[in-house]
Amino acid sequence: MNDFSLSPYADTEWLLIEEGADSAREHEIESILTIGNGYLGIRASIAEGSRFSHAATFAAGLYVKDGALGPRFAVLPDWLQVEVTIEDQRLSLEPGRTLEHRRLLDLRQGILWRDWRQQDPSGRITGLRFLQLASLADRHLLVQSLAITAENYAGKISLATRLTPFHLSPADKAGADRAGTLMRVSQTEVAIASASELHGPSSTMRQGNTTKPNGEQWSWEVSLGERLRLDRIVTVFTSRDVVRPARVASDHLESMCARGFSALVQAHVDAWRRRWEAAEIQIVGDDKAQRALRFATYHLVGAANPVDEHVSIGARGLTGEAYRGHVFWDTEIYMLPFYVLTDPPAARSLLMYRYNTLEAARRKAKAYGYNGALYAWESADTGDDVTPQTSVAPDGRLVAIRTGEREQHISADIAYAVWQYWRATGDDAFMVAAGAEILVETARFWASRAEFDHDGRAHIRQVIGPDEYHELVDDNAYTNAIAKFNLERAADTVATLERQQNGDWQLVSRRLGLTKKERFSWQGLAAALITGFDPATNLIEQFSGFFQLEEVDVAAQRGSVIPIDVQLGPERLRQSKAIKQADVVALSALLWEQWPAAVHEANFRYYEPRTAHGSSLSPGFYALVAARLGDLALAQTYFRQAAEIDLSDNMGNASGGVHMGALGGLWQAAVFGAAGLRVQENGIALDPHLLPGWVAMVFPLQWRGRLLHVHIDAEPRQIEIAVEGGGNLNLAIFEGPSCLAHAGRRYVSRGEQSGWGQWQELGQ
Amino acid sequence: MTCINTVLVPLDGSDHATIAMPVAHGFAKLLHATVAVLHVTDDVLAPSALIDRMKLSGEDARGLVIERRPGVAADVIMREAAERQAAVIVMCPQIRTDLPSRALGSVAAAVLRGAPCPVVLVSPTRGRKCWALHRVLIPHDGTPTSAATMGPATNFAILAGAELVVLHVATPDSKRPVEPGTLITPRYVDQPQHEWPSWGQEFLDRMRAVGGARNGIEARLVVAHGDAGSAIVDFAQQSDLIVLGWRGAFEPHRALTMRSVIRHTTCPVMVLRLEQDDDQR
Repeated sequence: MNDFSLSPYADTEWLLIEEGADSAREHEIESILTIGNGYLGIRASIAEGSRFSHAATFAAGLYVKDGALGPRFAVLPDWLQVEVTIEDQRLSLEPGRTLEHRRLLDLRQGILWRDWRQQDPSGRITGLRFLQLASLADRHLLVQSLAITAENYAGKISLATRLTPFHLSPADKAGADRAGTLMRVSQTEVAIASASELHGPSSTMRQGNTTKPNGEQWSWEVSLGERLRLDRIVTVFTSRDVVRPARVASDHLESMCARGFSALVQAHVDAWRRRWEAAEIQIVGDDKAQRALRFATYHLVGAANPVDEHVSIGARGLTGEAYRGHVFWDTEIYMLPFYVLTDPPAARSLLMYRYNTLEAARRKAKAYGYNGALYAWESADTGDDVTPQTSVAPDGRLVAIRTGEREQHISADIAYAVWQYWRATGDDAFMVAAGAEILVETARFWASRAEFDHDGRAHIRQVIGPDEYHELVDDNAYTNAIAKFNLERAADTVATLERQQNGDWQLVSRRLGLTKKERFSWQGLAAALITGFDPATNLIEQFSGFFQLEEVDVAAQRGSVIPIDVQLGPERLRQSKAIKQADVVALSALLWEQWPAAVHEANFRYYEPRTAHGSSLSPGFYALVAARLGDLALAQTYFRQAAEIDLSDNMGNASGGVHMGALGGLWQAAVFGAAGLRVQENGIALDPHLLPGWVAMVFPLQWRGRLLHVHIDAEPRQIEIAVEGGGNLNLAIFEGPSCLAHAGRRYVSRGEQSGWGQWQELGQ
Repeated sequence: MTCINTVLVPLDGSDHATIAMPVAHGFAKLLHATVAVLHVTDDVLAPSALIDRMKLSGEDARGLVIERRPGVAADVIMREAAERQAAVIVMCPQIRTDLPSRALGSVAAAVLRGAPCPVVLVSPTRGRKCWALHRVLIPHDGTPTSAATMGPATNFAILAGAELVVLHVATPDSKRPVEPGTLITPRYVDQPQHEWPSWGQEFLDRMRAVGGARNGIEARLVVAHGDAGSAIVDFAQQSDLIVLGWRGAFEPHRALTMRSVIRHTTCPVMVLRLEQDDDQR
């Protein structure tokens, strides 16, 4: 047997372990332990299959049409299937006795391990260790390995691998050969090629002794205690990537086999190590928070593909079929900041997906009689809105779904994300080639959408804000504020690019027919938009008439087994002040600088008791804002709630996939809340509020080509930042001392009474 | 003595006991079984007197196996069911509304506790109209223990070609079940048009997997909220059989839902004993 001897990461804090086999929880376990690389996502189903398993491999951007509910993720053939037969008995978890069964997601190395010892009905004990990974070093590469030991017997072990296309009709199979299969998913060709080697104690079989389409079979006479190992290399290409996917998959397979199994695994492990170096948040003193942030980071890394500008991240990433792979505002508002600060090329690609679907957004705006671009509330491969128009409620009623038509803040959310990316990266080329056009077209939408009243104030009427319990409201605070931001930033950006006299931009500007008059009109509209702010109370009314609604005791119902919207019913809910998720409070998270702290405090205290947190997006933002306000106990409560959304053992929340937006929200609660990071025009500012029990928080981030290592200690209070690469930048305490920092140096600021001391340079 | 396919009907000589007969005949047709009627008495009766005692007419008696056994009623019924390997016991019990802690007479309660097969309770208020199985209603609290009803209920639905409706009732102020693997209504409904179908599919998949339900029939999940007993009785108006799991406890503060359903529904109720006895209701 060769020298391949990789093991799970030695530090068990990096391992997510699921002991035993629980048919009730199998679907959520498969989601939570998914492996992915942004191109492919593979649920952690068991290789020999079971009747309660839901095996699935997804490819980003690959959808099939599916009636009125819109497109859904295509499920690719189950490439993981390995059938193990001992003598003539097929090995599975059901007959016989399971002596040991454990799945370990190795977050550090991006590998799913499975250890299994099974005593079959004849008393033979077989030990198995599986490894599977979706390579982060080469996104078209999948790897599987199975070590199998005859613990107390000698006899024949047979192995059979196969690619099983399901959810596909025979007509969809465009061809097959020994190495793999080629099929058609809608208009896309998908090619999967596979090669295996079986290693015995003294020799290696490079091909199965029986070959058949879509798989191989092997048989080996083993002695007592002998160990075999089957290594499989699989390559996947689609006609979205290359012209001839079958040929490319086959050629790529050959070159991967030539590199050797160990080298491929090592390259993947190295890629994950580099990614962790750029993204790992360390929390000293709170193991649960540490584990939750590693889990969030792992799935965020595995969801994005920095080299594909035609895909985005769905609500459940590549981990499950729930939400059909559709892309929502979650991506730009909740997930994107992670990529902006840890993997800017991935952030750029996600925004390019929006640029590449801008035409669909223009079509949608036009269809509703507006100018510019109105992005799809639910988007898939083309960018056309794929929100279902009706849905069956849990009680069997058919209900109209209005979000596709009326939840329009998504256009401004995307504009907000474009601006944040530009500010953090300084990627002028992106802004000129794509970002500014998004800003302009979304601003044009708002310019046609808003209505001026006789008093000169502008209104946006009949919308749905993030609080989707209240539909068709006028002047939703979130929508208006984020639209205002959209209009202002579009005007600023156009002015900046015109000042720079960038030739490429002049071409774009001419193509878009931009005029100074239009730019000024955006500024005028932004200034006229109703904000709902009352200086007497510091409160921002969530929408026109909200303060007159009925009070209900939301906090008392948070632990109920019934969601509050089901309990109250649609009519009473509409008449109540119960809100679904962060709406005005989301503005505190996103646009903190636009209001003084007293306004954030007043609104948080007003809306927090009225928020039902009926969306998984909500707890993360409440944790963020509570931390910024210094309410650390409440911040910790919400942080833990956000952390438990997928990781709680008994919720069933994750069976259809992990909650990518909530994971992004958790990351933001740590970085923007506990560390208090603000990304600014000339650098960064921090305002640490470490949560109770957090002794220290350490994380890296990127700002305009500089890599910063931030280390915050709770006691004594201290911030230390090491700067690598690029030129100077401004380091600041939020609303406190700042300094000009240079590459290759370290800087420290220490706590002084209630504030922070001046920054000091520590040298190299 | 063995009879693989037997539907056993205890008849105590009361007028209302024979109300079980149409339902018993329906099950017999479904299972290709014979209906065996049983009267427990120490009296030795001539055949015609036995039929009279059971309140059966000569026409009613055609095609039936008719037995008299001495002894204590509940013990004899359970023993007869075991010896005949009865597929199901169908009985029209005495329904108690006078005592809050009891819904059934003592014989029916004892049979429920010790029967070796499912017991179908037919309400005296159902009347004697014909019975056929077109829709099976499975009330389900989302616990893996209750999933044990899924297998038998699915089998009956497949046999009858009946619709299978799973009813999950979310009850305000009820405690979250602590049993691992329990699935209750989702805490987060990010987008209802996706969350509810996804949760519903998971609910059915999970309960069918745990309950060992066969493939071959689609189930429909309906969620109601409010008092569980009332919701089940309400939904049962359009159903032909309620399949209820019972953890075996009948103490005053337990099995409240079952008691309420038995008292108020006219739909036959099949009671299946569950393994675990940790009912919190």
